[in-house]
Amino acid sequence: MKRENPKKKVKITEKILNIFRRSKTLRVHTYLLPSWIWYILFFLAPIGLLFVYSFWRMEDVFLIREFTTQNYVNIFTYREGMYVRLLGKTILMAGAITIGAVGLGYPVAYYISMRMEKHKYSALFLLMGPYLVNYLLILYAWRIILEPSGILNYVLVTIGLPRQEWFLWNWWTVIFMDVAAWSPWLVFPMFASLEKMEKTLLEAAADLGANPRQAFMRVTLPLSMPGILVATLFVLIPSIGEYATADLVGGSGGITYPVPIENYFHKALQWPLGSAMSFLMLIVILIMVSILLRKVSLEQIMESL
Amino acid sequence: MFRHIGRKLLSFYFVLFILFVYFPLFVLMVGSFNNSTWPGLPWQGFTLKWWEMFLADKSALDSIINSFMVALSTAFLATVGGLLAAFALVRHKFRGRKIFNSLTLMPMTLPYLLLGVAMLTLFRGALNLELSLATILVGHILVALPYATLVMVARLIGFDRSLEEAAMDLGANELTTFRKVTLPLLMPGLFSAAFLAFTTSLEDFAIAFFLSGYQLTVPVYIFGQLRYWLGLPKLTALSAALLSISFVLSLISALGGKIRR
Repeated sequence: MKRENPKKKVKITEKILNIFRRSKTLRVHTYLLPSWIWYILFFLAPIGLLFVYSFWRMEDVFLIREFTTQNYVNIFTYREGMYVRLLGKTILMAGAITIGAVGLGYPVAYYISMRMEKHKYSALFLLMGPYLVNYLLILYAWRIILEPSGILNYVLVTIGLPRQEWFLWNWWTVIFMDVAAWSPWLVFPMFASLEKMEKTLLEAAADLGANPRQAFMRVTLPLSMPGILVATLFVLIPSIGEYATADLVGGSGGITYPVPIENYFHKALQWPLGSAMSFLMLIVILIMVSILLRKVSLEQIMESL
Repeated sequence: MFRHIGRKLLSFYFVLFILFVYFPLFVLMVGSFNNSTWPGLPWQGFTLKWWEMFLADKSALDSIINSFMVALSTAFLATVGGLLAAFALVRHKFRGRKIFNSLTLMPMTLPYLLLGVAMLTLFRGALNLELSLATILVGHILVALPYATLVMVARLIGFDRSLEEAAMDLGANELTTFRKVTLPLLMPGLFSAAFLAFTTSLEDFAIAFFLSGYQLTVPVYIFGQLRYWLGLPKLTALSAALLSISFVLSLISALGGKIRR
């Protein structure tokens, strides 16, 4: 008996393997099955459902499943288009965050790639430090620093300058916090594309009479453009959907488009209106992504992971 | 001469940037020992009471355990799913490949907020499920799976298949070949895919915010505390604790990577 058992096991595995050997289609789709399930059940279906919800309405606390376009009309007409203006403001803020974070990160990527000879990867590792704690805690730390009675004001008062109360609770707070949270992360894709560049091209440019500035503008910058675009993609989209920063440090001046969405889903139980607002955001983002993806290829995104 | 100044400026900027990035962490660390109800300056003397408060807070400790459980499961499941998908993508031709590719990219390009509310309408609205750690896990796998897939595709493209063929020629069947040849060779890739999935899950607030029930993950717990101004100095101790845990973890992973290389 004891001897037969392993043999039997081998037979069963062989049988199963044979089924897979015979059909290539079966093999491929077994590989793909978990992904298909996740993408269809937990991505396409929810997005579709969100779309359906956006055409329903609430009556008191009851969901009325009848087709109506009222939610979309409401978005555009409520308080003379407040939500549309809010979306515009959010996109502008996301643009500012992107420019700020990419701008702060690029010189760092440039320095590590071009000027450091040893310890490049230790320097990159150093940049991962802030991601060891959650970004909400970084946000909290900056709040401790920037508060009216915070660290920065303590220093200002100590050296005899007036107390500043405008640091927190406005749109610039949201921009500053998101830039601070994102910029170290964006060094990575930009570093990746700078590293790929042939450094001898710079020597060639110098031999042909280009000064360092010309060489940078004509050679380095264009060749690192893919990295800059990947970094842009990394920061622009999430910062449009960023909710926590606006809610925690934005005050009334820093409210962004996702804040009412959250409100409609969590507190107000106005899912249909929230869904319509989400769907509008989705469309805006898809347009932006399709423009960006025309300039960046999948391989470039992969290399910077 | 100017070039020299330019170089100096750039190194100066680099140091400044590192200080800028680490200053908040330093504030949290020091604040957790400051005997002041509002962490910051001036220094009011050394205390361990915020640490005691944090260690006595069951919901904070639970949220850490919850977060790590969800992140570990996400890392494992997303990596397995990503590896399988990568096998199909790199080694086979199949119908619907274009659709599959764009489905892989789509969740990566949408803000987590949208994915969160969409899955909320599915779980609560259509299926009427109780929200729990399981629903968070489902959401985290959705965002981690594309990353894991892309990492594994990149590793499989550079994979030398002749080693597998040699194993098969020597009489190993597919399973043995996979276990003894393919898997060990793919280990570094699997490791970085898992690490990426793990951190994605650990960092996520937006999805967990919409998909959590009574059991919270760390970011959702922190958000609640920050929003309603509860027990603030306690949070500095939580940050310092998290920082130490992840520092040890990343050190292990860095050393692990080095030894393998």
